[in-house]
Amino acid sequence: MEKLVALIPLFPLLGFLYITFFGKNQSKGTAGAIATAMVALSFVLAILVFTTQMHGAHATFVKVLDWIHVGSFHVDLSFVVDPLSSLYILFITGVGSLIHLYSIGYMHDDEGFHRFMSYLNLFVFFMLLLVLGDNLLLLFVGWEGVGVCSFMLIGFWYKDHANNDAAKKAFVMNRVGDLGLILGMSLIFVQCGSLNYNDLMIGGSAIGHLGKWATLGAVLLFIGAMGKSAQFPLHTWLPDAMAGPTPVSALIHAATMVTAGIYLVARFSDLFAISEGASQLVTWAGVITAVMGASIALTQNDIKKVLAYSTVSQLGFMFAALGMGAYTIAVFHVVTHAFFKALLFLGSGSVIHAMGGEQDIRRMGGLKSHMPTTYWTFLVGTIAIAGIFPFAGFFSKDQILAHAMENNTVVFALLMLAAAGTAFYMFRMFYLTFHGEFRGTHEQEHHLHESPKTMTIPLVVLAIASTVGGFMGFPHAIGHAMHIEHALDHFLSGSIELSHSHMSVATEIALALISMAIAGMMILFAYNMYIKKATPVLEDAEINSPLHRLLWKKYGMDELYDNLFRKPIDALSAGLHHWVEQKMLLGMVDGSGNAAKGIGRILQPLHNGQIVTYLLAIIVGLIALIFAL
Amino acid sequence: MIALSIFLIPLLTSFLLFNSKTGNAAKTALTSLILMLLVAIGGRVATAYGLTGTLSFPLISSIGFSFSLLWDGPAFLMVLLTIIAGLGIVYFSQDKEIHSSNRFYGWIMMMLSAMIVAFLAGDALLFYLCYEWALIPIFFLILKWGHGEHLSKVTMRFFLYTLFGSLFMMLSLLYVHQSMAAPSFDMNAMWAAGKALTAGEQGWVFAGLFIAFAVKMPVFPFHSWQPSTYDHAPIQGTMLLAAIMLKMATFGLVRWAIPMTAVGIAENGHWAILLSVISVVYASFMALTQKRLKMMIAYSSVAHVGMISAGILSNTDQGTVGGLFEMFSHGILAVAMFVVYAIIEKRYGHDRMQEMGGIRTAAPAFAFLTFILVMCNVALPFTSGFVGEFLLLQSLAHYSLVYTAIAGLSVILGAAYMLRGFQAMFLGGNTHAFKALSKNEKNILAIAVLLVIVLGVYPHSLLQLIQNVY
Repeated sequence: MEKLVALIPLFPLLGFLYITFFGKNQSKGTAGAIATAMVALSFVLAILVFTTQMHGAHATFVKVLDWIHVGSFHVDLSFVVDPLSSLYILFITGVGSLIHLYSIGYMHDDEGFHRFMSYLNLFVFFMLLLVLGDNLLLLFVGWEGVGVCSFMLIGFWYKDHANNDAAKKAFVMNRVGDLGLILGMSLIFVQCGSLNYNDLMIGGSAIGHLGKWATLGAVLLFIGAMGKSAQFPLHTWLPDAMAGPTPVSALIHAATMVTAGIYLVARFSDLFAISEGASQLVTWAGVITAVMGASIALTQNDIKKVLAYSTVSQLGFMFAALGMGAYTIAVFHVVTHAFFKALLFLGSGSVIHAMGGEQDIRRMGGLKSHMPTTYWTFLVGTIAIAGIFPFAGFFSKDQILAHAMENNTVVFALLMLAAAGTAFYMFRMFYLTFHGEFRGTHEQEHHLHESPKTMTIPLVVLAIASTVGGFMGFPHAIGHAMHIEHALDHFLSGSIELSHSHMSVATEIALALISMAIAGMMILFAYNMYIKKATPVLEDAEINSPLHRLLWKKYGMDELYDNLFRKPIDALSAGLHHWVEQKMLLGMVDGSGNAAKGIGRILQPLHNGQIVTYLLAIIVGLIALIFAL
Repeated sequence: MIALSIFLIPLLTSFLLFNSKTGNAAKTALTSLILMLLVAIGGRVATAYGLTGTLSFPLISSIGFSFSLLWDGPAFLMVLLTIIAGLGIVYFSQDKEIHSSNRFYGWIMMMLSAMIVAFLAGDALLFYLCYEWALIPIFFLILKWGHGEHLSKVTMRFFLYTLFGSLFMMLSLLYVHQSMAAPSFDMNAMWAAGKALTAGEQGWVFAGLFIAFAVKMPVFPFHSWQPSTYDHAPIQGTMLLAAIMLKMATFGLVRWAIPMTAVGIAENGHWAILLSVISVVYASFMALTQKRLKMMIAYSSVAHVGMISAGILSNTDQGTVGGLFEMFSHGILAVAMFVVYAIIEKRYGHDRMQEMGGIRTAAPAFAFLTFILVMCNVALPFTSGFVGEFLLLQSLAHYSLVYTAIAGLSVILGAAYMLRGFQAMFLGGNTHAFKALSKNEKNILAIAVLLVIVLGVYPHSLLQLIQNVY
């Protein structure tokens, strides 16, 4: 069964090639159907592979092609099927096919429809390579491939340079992380002699040969993860990436690509487990990102920007979990987050669609009655991310908090704070968008409508997944009686280091109740503010309080980076060009050039055609010299 | 015989062209190149079946100078590059208006011939002579078909600079040569004699070789002849320089410098690796500040070559093989990138990137192909650029992780300047009418893109071929 795995990335690749080269003559319906069907086919295969793994987890390797064999360097195009990769391909293709379906409706009026669908297919291909590769180099292929697709899709509407700037920023910033990953790979190969997971971790333990370099190796890999998964301080590209069409934000910048960093760390859990320093770094980067993202999201008024900072913050939660050794729980949160965040993004897309492109929640309100399916599914997503039992987000987030409580009180307190913020900003957005009076133009109000079936069906499916998706990871307290506790943990233990919680059932329940109580208070708080009192949200120019302004300006990070990196580097280049290249080096050559001019004058008679003779004379002279020797 | 015919075909073609009318010069050159390709591939197949392709007959036995040609994996690879790049250059030029086209193509064919012998040479003196001989055709190509107000000054500067640099190689080779009991320029004798020298002597011999190569590649700070030369040369001349000619230098490192002076490099050659690494970063910064496409490509080429040099000098299997692979990849890429430049320049009448925009809307296929080439330039996986560059970085990591990190900055800087340029030219609103690509223009880019992707996805065969002797 596992041999079929080679077909899983192949289908989306074929879809991309077909639409790119033969799609011109197809109708939008056909092209969209082909693209969606290709991912759906992969999904069916992924289910088969996944169930096989469930019946007996074991790592299987499927080689497709010899790739790079040089001396002792030996890497193939080869796939690994194990619990971790089979789980990832399952939700990538599952959520992926829903988002493809949604795109048929969402992008229907766009002139670049074919291009869009083909890029989505290509993205899924690379994402699958990333998680299926049985070595770090193939992971890197997928890693860079999804980066390019992300670039092409953020800048999909390329006539507007604002989108292109966002795309370029995403790519270049990711490259900063990529350099870390390249160096990490280099270090691992130099020290361990292989980049294959089987040698390093699964079948062997060569990763241990890193010895005193283990921390450096782990940190370098993590730098890669920081870029791709938008962790502080490499996070500023992700909110800008919202310039892309909304399905892109859902698929790439929420559900799949940005979780590649978590995959990388989880895959190398053996390495991170032996490196206390690197793990500390991961934890704190995660905590800072979680709090920072949540705090910025409190003040944003663009519906997609709120969700983007929310994603940044949620990814921070996942890294905090990774850093504390709770690898399986981080992966659990990746999966539940994929459900509810894809749902929320697609829901926001449905709203934007209805609003004729408007993204400012200050211009919305009262959409509930106009688009009931969007409303109810969005509500499910909002509850799920806020962490209310029994929706998906509750289970995964609560276990991250439980781990924090056991490990480090400060981390716990900060994550609690971020969780509270999450409940508030989500319901703030929810109330402002769907409740109260409509605040947009008359024209917009007239235009309001529920989205077509291709868009609402994915919403409903994802809402169901966001409701029941958490059951795969029942905590001890509830699951024990039903014999399904930590089902996902046990499944993943085939690939990843397990971490055991020693928390008593009573504490676990108490924690769950407390965190829900806080979330509930925050929801009430938001209700009070935006429904009961209907406090108007400040216009941009009215934001005066320093703290509000700081958050609204995203802590000024963009300006800081501009002044810290972009401008100095440009100035350095220009300076080097002027002083070293032009003045110094060319000056030197001009000096010798004058000498050459002198020679040239002497040789004037030899010019024009006779220079061959002159050159021959040089060479003959040299040969004569050799004779003399 | 194979090796012999591969260099004789272009040489005879050039004589033929010099003595013919201008009529079908491009067709003649093209036919000759196709013949060479067939002979080369046929010859390689024959070699695989045990037929030897090497050839040697003594010329001046008193100094041990013989006309000796090798036919191993690396030599074949470089010959293949020469032929493919040559095909690209001639194919691209065939419908262009070129004055005295018979002599123009004649010089090109003569240059190819000289470079082929340099790549095949199994004799150090023969290598040196052809290394120099290749300068003459390019000198005339630039002088007679180049442009710009300082043409003669720039040409002279280029010529004397590279000629002067090569003298250091001559001195090094002579030093090794005179150290032998029975002096010979034969490759194996030279290798053995080089190895027999002390580390200190080897360090000096290497220094001479490296300076000669560093001028030609070029490596910082010996590169100042390059931007203006690329700028003034006819586009075909620029392609010849970037795609093939500089490879004589990087190939020289693999064929001559490493085998003769490995110990000297390890003990006294740090400066050369450091210079190469500096060159990578310096050239990337230079590329970042360029306003003109041709100059950006030129500096980007310097950055790539610096990487090749650093990787090879760190002297591991990955460095040598990756270096050769990257030479091949870079050769194809260089031709393709300059074709892109020529296409744009022809339509805009200039190559100032910031004054363009929206080409993608007018010519989507052109934008698509260029984008893939840009991605190869930034070493994206599944393009040939990645395979070479990754192996080189890997090799450098064996030498020093810090150097790898510094050279690796080009990963970031390369993306920054390449995408900045691409965005300025291709994206945004349409500002200028853009004539559709001709069939030739489209074909050559499509073939280059295909090669770049095939070699990136399946580099295995080529990598095995390169390792045929090592």
